Amino acid sequence: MSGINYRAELNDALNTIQTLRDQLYCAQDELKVTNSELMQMTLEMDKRVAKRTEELEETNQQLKREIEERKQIEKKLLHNEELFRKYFELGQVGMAMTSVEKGWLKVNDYLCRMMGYSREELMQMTWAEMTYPDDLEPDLYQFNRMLKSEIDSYSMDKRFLRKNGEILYTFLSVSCVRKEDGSVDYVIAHLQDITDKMKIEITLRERTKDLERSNKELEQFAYVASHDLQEPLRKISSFTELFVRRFPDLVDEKGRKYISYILDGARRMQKLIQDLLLYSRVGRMNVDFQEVNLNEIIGKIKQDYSKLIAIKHVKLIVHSLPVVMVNPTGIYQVFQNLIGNAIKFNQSDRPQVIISAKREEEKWLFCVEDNGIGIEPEYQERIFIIFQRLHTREEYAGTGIGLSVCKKIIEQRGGRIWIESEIGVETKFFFTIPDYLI
Amino acid sequence: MKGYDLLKPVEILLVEDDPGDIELTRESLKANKITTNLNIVHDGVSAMQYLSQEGAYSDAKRPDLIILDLNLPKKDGLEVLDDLKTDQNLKSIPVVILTTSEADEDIIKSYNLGANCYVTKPIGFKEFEKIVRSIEEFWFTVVKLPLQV
Repeated sequence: MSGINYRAELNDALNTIQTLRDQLYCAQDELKVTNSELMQMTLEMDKRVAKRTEELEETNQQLKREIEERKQIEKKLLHNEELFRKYFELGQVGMAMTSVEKGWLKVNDYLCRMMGYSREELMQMTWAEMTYPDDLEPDLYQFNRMLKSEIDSYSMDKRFLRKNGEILYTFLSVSCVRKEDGSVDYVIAHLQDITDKMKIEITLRERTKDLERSNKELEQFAYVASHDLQEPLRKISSFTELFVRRFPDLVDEKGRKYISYILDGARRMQKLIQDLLLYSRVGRMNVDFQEVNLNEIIGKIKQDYSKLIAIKHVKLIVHSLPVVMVNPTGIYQVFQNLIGNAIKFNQSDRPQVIISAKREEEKWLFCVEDNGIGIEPEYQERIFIIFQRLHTREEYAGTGIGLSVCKKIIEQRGGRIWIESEIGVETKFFFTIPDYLI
Repeated sequence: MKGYDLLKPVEILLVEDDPGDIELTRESLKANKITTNLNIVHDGVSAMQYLSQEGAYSDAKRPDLIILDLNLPKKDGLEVLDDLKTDQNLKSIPVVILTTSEADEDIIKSYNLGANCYVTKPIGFKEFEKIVRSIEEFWFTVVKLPLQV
């Protein structure tokens, strides 16, 4: 029995082993599969890690770049801030930043110096306190418009009171930075010190006013004097004439000679007074500038002098003349005097007068040229003085007003008049008329 | 003469404060063929009183011509001119401004106010005489004036 049993037992064991081996194989196979899966997964994992690392690297690079950029920006910002600080502090202009609620935010050194306060003192003051009382209203008006969003900035001439009580003249510019809701966040004010300029301007204005006044007075004086002076003159000549007529027997030959001197003197006096009046009138006609064709002016003067030109056989040569902006009466008087002189002071058998114009930089140069008696160099300046004569009345008539009137007219138009002459040969009168009006 | 009675003298009112000029005017009128009656007042206020026959001038005759100086005491010639040229009764009387002033302002103002002519006083008697005569001749022989009421 025991043999059979043993065999059966062995069979069983063999079966079991078989089964176990199968199972082992099976497990081995599974393991193989798992292993390969694992390998697969590891590979996959590796790939992912590599990719992730790459991504990380990328991010890192980007981060670094960003950091670098930020550093640059910060640097720039610092630089800008420095620039702004310098601009704010070193600028030769007063600057302040204020807020409507908090008052002064920032003021620069220059503003403090302008106002004559220390920074601490200034920060204690208000804008209105420093303002010259008369100038507060217009500033407030504009400021309120800015608060109401009607304007974003404004500028004006404004006076302030310095600590020492002096008036500070400024050119003030105010602008604002707004919050998102449109209300004013803070205000920036720029103040330029124009005190020196204003002082000069005020002095200039006063001086101009004085000059205008004295000019007016002078003209008034010349005018009144001329009229009042003519009155007694009329009496002298009228009654001298009447006297001779009514009492002819009282006057002998000598007496008549004396009387002729009285009458001649009175006539000359009248001419002088009329010329003085003419001279004073030049000052009153200077503003009426208009386009004048000088060829037409010369045409008229030719007509005025037609008799004289015919008698003295004058050859008058007129080159083409331009159209200029002048006072027509004034330029007429200038040419009339110069042409008249050219004919008058001329003893040539064939008197010749040449009128020409030349274009120069920003002006016209005119020349009235004659072949007359000429003027000695030492008198060439003096002839432009009022009532200055170079000849006796017996030689050449006249009061000596003409050239002084010419000079006054030309200079009032911003031009210049001068003379070039050679005794016994020629005289050339030059004058300029600039393009710009004064 | 047109519209005037030859026998009736022409009435001239001279408004002038200067005795010399009054004399010159008087002398200039002397040698004329027209009989003139020269009435003289020395200032603008008297001129207006004369023309309105006020006070001492209650018997004053209405002038046929007024010769008016501009520079007058109390009331100047331009004011007188303005007054009489805006007066319905007086504005038809011709007014000759005879003055020393050659100022454009005076000439323009005078004509604007209705002056009939403007003459400046000349120098010398001969000239003065010539001017007074031509004024007289023009106003009393050349032009036709409204008949006096």
